[in-house]
Amino acid sequence: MIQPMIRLAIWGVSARQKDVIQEMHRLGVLHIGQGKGPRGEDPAGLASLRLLRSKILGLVESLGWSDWAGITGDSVESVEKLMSGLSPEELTHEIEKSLEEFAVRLASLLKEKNDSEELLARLKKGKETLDLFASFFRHGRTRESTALWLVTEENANGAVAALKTAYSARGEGWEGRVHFVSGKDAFGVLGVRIPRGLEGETGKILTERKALPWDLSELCPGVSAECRLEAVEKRIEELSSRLAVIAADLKRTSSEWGPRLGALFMFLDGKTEQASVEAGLTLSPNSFGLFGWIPEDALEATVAALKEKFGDDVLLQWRRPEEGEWGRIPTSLKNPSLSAPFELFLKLLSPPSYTGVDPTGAIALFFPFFSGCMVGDIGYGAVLFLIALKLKRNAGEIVRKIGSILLAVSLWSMAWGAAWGEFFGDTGHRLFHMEPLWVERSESVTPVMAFTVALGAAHVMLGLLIGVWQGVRNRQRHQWMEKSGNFVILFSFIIGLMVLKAELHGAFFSIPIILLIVGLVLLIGGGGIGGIIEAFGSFGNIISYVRIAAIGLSSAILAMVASSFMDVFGLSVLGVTLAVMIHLLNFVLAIGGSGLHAARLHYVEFFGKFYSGNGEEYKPFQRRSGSSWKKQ
Amino acid sequence: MEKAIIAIAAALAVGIPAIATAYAQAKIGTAGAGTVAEKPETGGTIIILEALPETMVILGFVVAIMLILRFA
Amino acid sequence: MILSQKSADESPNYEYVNAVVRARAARLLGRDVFLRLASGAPEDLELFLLESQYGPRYREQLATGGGSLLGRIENALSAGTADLLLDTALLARGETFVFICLILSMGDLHNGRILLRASPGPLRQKNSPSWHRYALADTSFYDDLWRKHATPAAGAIRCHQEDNDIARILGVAYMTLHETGDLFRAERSFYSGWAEWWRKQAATRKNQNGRRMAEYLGRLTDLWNFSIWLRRGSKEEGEPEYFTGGWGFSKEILQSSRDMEALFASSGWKDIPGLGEGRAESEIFRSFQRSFYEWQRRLYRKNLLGIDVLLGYSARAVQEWKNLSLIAVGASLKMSPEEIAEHLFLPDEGTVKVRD
Repeated sequence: MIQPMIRLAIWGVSARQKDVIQEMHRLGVLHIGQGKGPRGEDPAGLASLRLLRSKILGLVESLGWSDWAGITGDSVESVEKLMSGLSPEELTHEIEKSLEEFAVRLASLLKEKNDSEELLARLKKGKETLDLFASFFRHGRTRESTALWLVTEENANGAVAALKTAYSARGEGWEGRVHFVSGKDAFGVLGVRIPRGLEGETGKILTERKALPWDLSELCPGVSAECRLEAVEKRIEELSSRLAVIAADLKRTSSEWGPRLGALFMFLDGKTEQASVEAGLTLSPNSFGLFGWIPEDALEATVAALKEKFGDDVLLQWRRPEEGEWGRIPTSLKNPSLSAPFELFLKLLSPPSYTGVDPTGAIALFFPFFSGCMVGDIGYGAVLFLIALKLKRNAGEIVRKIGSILLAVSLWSMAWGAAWGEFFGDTGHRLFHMEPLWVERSESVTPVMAFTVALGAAHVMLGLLIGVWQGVRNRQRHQWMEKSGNFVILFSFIIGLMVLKAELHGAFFSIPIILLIVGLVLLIGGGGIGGIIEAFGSFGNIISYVRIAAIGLSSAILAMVASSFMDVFGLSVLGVTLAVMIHLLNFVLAIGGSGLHAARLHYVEFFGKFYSGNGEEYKPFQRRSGSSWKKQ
Repeated sequence: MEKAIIAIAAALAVGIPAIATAYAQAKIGTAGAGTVAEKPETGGTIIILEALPETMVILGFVVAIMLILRFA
Repeated sequence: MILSQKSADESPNYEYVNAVVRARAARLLGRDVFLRLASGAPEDLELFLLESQYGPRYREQLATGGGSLLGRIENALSAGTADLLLDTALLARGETFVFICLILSMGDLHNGRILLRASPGPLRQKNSPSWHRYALADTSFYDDLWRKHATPAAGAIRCHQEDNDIARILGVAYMTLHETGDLFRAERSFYSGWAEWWRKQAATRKNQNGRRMAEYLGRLTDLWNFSIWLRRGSKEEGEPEYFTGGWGFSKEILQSSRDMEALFASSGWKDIPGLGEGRAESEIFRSFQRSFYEWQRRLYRKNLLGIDVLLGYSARAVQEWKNLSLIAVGASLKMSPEEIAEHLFLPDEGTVKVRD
């Protein structure tokens, strides 16, 4: 259900303003209800606090540290103690000063890492090319030097011919002097091994053919061409080990500074939030006023805490909200422990408005019922029960909630399993002569389908009734007229069907006809032509519940197929393995499919009749925790 | 022979809408996944949109069952 | 080089990427926000950026960047825009990926042009210019070219070493510059090499999206040809050489048209504000650019299951970066809000304001 909220106003003397805001931040129950105050602009310190907060978060992100959950309240409080009594300006100055050296060191470390990684990538690429000419570099001939040239394939051929002529004219041997590696376009790399003294002539020949010297000197400056491959290999090795050192240094810095900066950030975040609330206060020269919304059951403790801490320095006023305020009141849900886990279903939607309806109770009732009806197997239900118990012991809150939901589904699965007479399909029947309490759904399809349609009619009509109630409560005439018209029309069809089935006298038909006319009037009065379309939609919605029978039927048949492997292969390893595997597949399909379709029946068919989801979530003014930093 | 024709009719009644539903759901689902990845608050709306084409196959199923029960 | 990271043969996923992009587009800034920021100080822009989608990059600048306020803002904006667009590209598959790469490759075109124009080296400043960081080739590649490869010959070799298609196209342009010393020819070689390469990619997809990308390249070519047409007569060697593959301007029309009205009359380009009103050519060129941008922006709402959405989104994202950078520079130069607004391409603005 939606918790009743109270409007709490706190008035006090300006001298206690900061303390009151700090205390409300600590208590973490007040949903602030005021925006910018009469001052309109942020106080001077707030902008610098925001910048500093971001800078620290930037440092944390640059460090790659993210263990926010590891920061305890104590570590934030110790920062708080250290910084207490400082004005925002002093605070900013102090923190900036203390982080100056660290920020510079981190920036230079990160820059070196970046530059080294880029250089390493280039060196590796350079080495790939040099490797293609490795034999030129590794012969260690001192009489000869090696050069690489970038040249088009066409020009390379001409250059090679010219070089051959020039070398032969000087009596130099030609074999093994050139090697051309073509690239992915017109250009390629030409490697030339040149006798010393012929460099000039070679260069001239190649330049004439528009070749460019492939010089990797910027990667290994001051190294002769012959030694480049060796130098590049050495440099790659050096850089790799330097990068390892930098990575280790960063890791150490991260583990050392991360938690400190994290705690500092959390402290500053609180301060910034407080300063921003302060900026929105209602002010007179010597006093301030703060107001917001608080759940009714937290009022007593909050008032007591404020009275104890501030005594007569603050004046507290509280009252129930007035009708004109309904649209601005945040929504906070509170349900009994059995149905509370089903609040998860509303997380996918915007919360209901304060005067709306919390459907959690209805979901808790119908979801496991529908889902269990689809699974409908004592054996599957028992396995699911064990899984649910395991999940309920998990540390994560959401996983525990899912465990609770699955527990309810498993109980209903077992109940429905008894009704359909299924225990791992027909295994129960084969082994223990188990009989269905109601019908065998794989045989008697019609009654199951009729039942699910009836179930759908009840569910959809409940949704419509909630819609009517909501419309009346919020004084929305169109809504309650449309929903009630829709309801009456559905009802008239049900009565008509009953009259038809019971073969009553024709005069009884006047009842559904009158109801139909009343319904149409209400429907058109409330929703116009759109209302009539919605009424048609309601019939479609009801038929949609046939899926409960359809999915149940397919699950039951697949389970029987699984067991029939035992008939084919007998009680052999193969037979048992195949049976178990098909049952496993069916179990997964049944759980997944039933959950998904039961959820869909709620989201589409049920919620569609009343849920508007235009509420504002209750967000108390408090220190944020854990994972919420990651969303920054 | 007649039974075979009825079986084929039932299979078509559920098969063709199933293909149409699968096609529509694949498109909507892909787009829905993209939207939810950016705006998780749209999850409920996406489920509704994703569920809409299912009506086709549910109606197909009802028709198939009716064909079998009535004529087979 | 992002293009080599994925296979182009997978089936496209326009539905997914477009849904992500349309959800993200809600965070793009509206006209009012630009105008509000234009009337504020750079410090206001700084606080605004912290809460915006450029927040993570601005925090990075605050933590490790140092430098001036304007420098921080410019760096954060260009890196933030690159994050938006490159992240989107990484979500794409197959044809979707190829075409989004084409859109991003506009950044390579800009960066390559900056490099060619700053060759040879002595013209260059020590610090790298503001690169279009969303480009396909890494920013480190362009930085390296800028800082360590000042001559066209060195640039050509460095491009060949990079071993990817975009770098090769730039390498050929560098080679042209090295061999001829003619910047105009080098730029022309770069533009036509780039456009031809992408035209081939678009031509392999014979569907609506392939045709749209061919139209995009054609319209872009029109823009280049129009800028050549505006310079006709400034060269003494006779008729200028136009790029082939234009969308609205045929070579014949470009060669025969003596005034702008005649040029645009049968081109298919509409809504060029100021045309026929005796405006300066530079203003008409800006109007034409604006018209090209508006065409892309409008595509955002056209085919929701095709490349149109991505074309529209990318144009808006890049324009947002340019607008915010202009605001930052304008505010730091203490320009009046009206003066700054005059230089912006604002969203939801039907026509372009042209100075009277």
